[in-house]
Amino acid sequence: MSNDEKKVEKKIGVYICTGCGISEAIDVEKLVNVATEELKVPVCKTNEFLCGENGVQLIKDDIEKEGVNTIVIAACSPRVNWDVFDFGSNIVERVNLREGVAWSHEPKDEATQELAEDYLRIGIVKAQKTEPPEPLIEETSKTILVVGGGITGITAALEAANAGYEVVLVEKEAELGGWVAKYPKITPTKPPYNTLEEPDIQSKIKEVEENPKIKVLTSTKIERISGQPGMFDVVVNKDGNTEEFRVGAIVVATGWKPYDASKLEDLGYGKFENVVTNVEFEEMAREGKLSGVDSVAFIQCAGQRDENHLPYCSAVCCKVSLKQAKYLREANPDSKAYIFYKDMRTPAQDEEFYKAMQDDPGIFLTKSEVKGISEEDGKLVVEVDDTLMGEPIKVKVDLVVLATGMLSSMYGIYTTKEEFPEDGKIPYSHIEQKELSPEIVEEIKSRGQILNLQYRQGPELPTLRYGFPDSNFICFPYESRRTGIYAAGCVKTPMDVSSCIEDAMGAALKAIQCVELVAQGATTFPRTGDVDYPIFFLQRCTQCKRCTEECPFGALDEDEKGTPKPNPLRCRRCGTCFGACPERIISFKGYSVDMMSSIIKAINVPEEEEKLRIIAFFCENDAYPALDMAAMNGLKYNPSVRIVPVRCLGAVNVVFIADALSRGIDGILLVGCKYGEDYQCHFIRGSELANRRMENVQETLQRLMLEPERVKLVQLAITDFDKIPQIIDEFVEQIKQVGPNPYKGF
Amino acid sequence: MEHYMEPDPKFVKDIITAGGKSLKKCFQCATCSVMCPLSPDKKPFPRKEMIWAQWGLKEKLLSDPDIWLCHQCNDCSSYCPRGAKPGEVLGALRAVAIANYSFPSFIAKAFLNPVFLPLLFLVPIVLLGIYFSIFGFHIPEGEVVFSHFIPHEHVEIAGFIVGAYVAVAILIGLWRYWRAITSGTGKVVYVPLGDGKVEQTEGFWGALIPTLIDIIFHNKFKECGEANYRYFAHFGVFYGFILLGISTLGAVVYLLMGRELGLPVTDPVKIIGNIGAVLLLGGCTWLVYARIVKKDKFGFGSYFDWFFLGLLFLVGITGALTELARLAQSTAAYWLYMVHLVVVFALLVYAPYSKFAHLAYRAITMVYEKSGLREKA
Repeated sequence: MSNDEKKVEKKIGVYICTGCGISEAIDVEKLVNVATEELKVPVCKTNEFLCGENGVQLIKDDIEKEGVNTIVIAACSPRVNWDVFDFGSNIVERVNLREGVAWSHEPKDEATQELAEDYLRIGIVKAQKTEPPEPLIEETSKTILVVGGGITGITAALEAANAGYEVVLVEKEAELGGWVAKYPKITPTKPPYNTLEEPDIQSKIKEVEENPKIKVLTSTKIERISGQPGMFDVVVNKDGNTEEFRVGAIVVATGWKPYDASKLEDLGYGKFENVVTNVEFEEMAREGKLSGVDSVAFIQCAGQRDENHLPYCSAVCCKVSLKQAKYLREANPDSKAYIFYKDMRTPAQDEEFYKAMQDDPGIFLTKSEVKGISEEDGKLVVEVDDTLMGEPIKVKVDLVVLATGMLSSMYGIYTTKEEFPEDGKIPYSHIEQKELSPEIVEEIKSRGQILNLQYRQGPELPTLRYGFPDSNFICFPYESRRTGIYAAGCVKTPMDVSSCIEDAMGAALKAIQCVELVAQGATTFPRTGDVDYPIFFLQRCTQCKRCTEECPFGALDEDEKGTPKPNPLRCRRCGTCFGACPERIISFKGYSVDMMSSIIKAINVPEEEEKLRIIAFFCENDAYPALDMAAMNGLKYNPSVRIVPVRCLGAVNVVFIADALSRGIDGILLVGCKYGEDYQCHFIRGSELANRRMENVQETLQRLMLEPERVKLVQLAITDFDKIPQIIDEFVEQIKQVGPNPYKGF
Repeated sequence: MEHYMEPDPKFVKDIITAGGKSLKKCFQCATCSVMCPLSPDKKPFPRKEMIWAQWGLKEKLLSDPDIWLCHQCNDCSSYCPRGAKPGEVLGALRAVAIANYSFPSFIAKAFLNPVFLPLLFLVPIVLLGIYFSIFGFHIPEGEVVFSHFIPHEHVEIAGFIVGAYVAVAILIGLWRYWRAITSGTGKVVYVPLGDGKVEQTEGFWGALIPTLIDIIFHNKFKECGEANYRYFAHFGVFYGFILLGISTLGAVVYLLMGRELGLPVTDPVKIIGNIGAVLLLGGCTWLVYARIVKKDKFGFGSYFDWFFLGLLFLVGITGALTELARLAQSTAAYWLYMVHLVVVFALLVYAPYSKFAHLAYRAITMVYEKSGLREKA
């Protein structure tokens, strides 16, 4: 069926909108000539209100009567009216005349007209080269695997099951419940946020166990997971017996583990019997061992926010110590609870809890730095300085509780090759640089795995700072770098019970979205719903392994020779492989090597030396929307720049740059997301890879005997739209300094 | 200065009972100390008092003179982001301090708790009852002349006895207080200014004059932001009370000169007394009005505050009514006179234990500050 469709000859119709100021800025007649005379497009029409009823009807009539099946809309930005200009299976290509030309350049100017004409040429060429996508439909599973039976895992399982999905819940312990089942009370989760609550974990466990859609596997470990979203083959081991099943998506809710307090000897841990951790104190409270305790000093940030221990804040310890102080006060009304904190961190509603606990006359709080903990007459002496009293103080207490921090359960295990490279050199600037020797890596590997993914890039989710699996917590909080696998709860970042519950709900929804999308052959965030996927022309592959190593999502496995084995359902369609391949054997139906070369060729390079031609590759995720925002805000920029949107800067192949420069294009600008530690790249490392490839670009420039200044990469946040004119104009100025491309006219 | 710190939750509760019920709300941002127009640059208050109060650091708080430098402008409370009302906490601390230092201290404790209020009024009523059982009780006929009811000499004698007692009790309290705040401080001769320069200090007597000037002109009250009405209201009460005192002494002088009392309203002594009464009543009314109607802005105050303010108000009202009844030749004047004597007695005899004592403690603390002792401590 699809083969028949392919054979259908394309009939292109170009529709130019003259509304929204387009006809005031551009000579539309000339534009029509470009389509009909220069590019011989069979149908080309103009309309003063193309997105209106008549405009859309005009196109629909042509589809029906003229047999137009490939439509080029030369009107507004592709980011708007995409729903209006949706003509089913017909290919639609958009030419951004409104934001890209009319609103951002001088009206009726020769340069503006040339820009519009080039954009139309690009649009028509793209339409010619676009093939209709053929979704990869496989028989997929919609079962969701939840790893970890704590509060997060239980919530995720219940949410998914209540939404109608089959769930398998795997827990390594014999009982469900995790940490929360071990807490006598939890900090407030509901208004008025000022009293301790009984954790309702037991009722949730019961709910899970009674839910027919949830299969609970306790005392179970995952041996390995292979495959791809919709088709994950999971092998588990329950008491020595293995079992294999297929799932569609995975929620990783393996939680946290406490920091090793034996490293806190300077705070008396291990030295004095009555110095315990907050985890141990919780146990004392559970076992009712507090009635004889008269005074307790809680030391906040014990081994936290400290370069020698955990550099970060575990987010919950302030609340936990306030809660534990209350345990003590309730067990023994004459007791005294001291809380020595660096900063009392109780954000949002937790402030109400802090206020309520602070109101207890037996709870004494002060900011302070601990100077030492010693023993005197069977009591512990806590010495602190920098107190709110303005002087160092000492208190005698029965017990010292160290508020130790949370580590991700993934901390310290072998995750990916890029984090534990064989040569010890970590390639990415946003991954924690650590000293690695082969012996250390071997030791880490021996600690065992959690998911044990059978991926070429490594067995676990990639982690970034501090061993937490990565995601951008504002823009895409649940995404991991393994499609279909979503981290939730404390495995991802330290959080409290209510946040875990909320996080579990979000991750369950993402998992559901994933199984539904992959069933249709579509991808997930950020090109959600995209069915087009990269196709490898493997006969020409040289096994250089760039694609398999660089794919940010580990979508490509390898055979023994190093030939890539694509897993299209793992793919997020960023095109990083497309940008990486030196042989240019990777193409999408709608984003191909041929198309990009044709786009570059479509740009008219005038012979006049003063007329510069610059190509700016703009990332579609943030940079291109920012460009539209600049136009909407009336900002103007140099008209000699041709903006070419790309899926990601990672999808820009060096060969295109070389092609463009050898055709006489004067300069190449790449504008994409911020990379590095606080990256904003929607494909995690596409823009960083693009930056690294700039080395190859410089080689190319040398080979072509061109100046290095002709190519520049700029990082842009979506909020920085106002900087766009400056970025573009400065680059044009830079190219003017360098002078016109000597290849012009060849 | 390192030492074991023993927080006292009981003392925290004492301060709360004495009117500092919001003290635990403080989170030590120090907005109060920044806003306070009276707080000195060095060791500013009331931020530090708030953490001491939260920890129940009794020793520190009782020997803290800064609570008396506060004039209860309430700027701190109205700017406090947590509603901790440092102004009210300092008021409570002053009450606790008076109770701690005054002599004999077991009486003092009765002023912190309203349950003792009936007992406190019972004392002058019983004394009056004893008086009448000795000298007989009858309401005189005819023209209203108070000396026919109770001879003025008896009132004056009782007044001098009460005055002597109050003076002794207050002096003992002050002495204890002074010892506490100056322990560990030597005699201050100079205050270093840096660069080897020193400032010669005033010394106790030298500091007394500027202190009196501050009190006479109410200079500190003038600096208040939020509750600047207090400058006028306190001024009225203060000078009203002084004028009434002068007028009372004038009456004593008349008595010694053998003049019959029951002065006409045109008599200079009576004129002074009536001006005093108007000032006192006006000031009191303003204070009562502000504390009740604008309590969110100025603070309602504690029982301890109200005991003193209420007594003052009653003294003013009963005094005025007594005089009016006398001028109207109503026999009700005798009954009002009795009530007036009871409240005046209560006001005076309880001065060492009630908020009235602030006059002495605050004054001596101002001297303490001006003499450079605070800088040194």
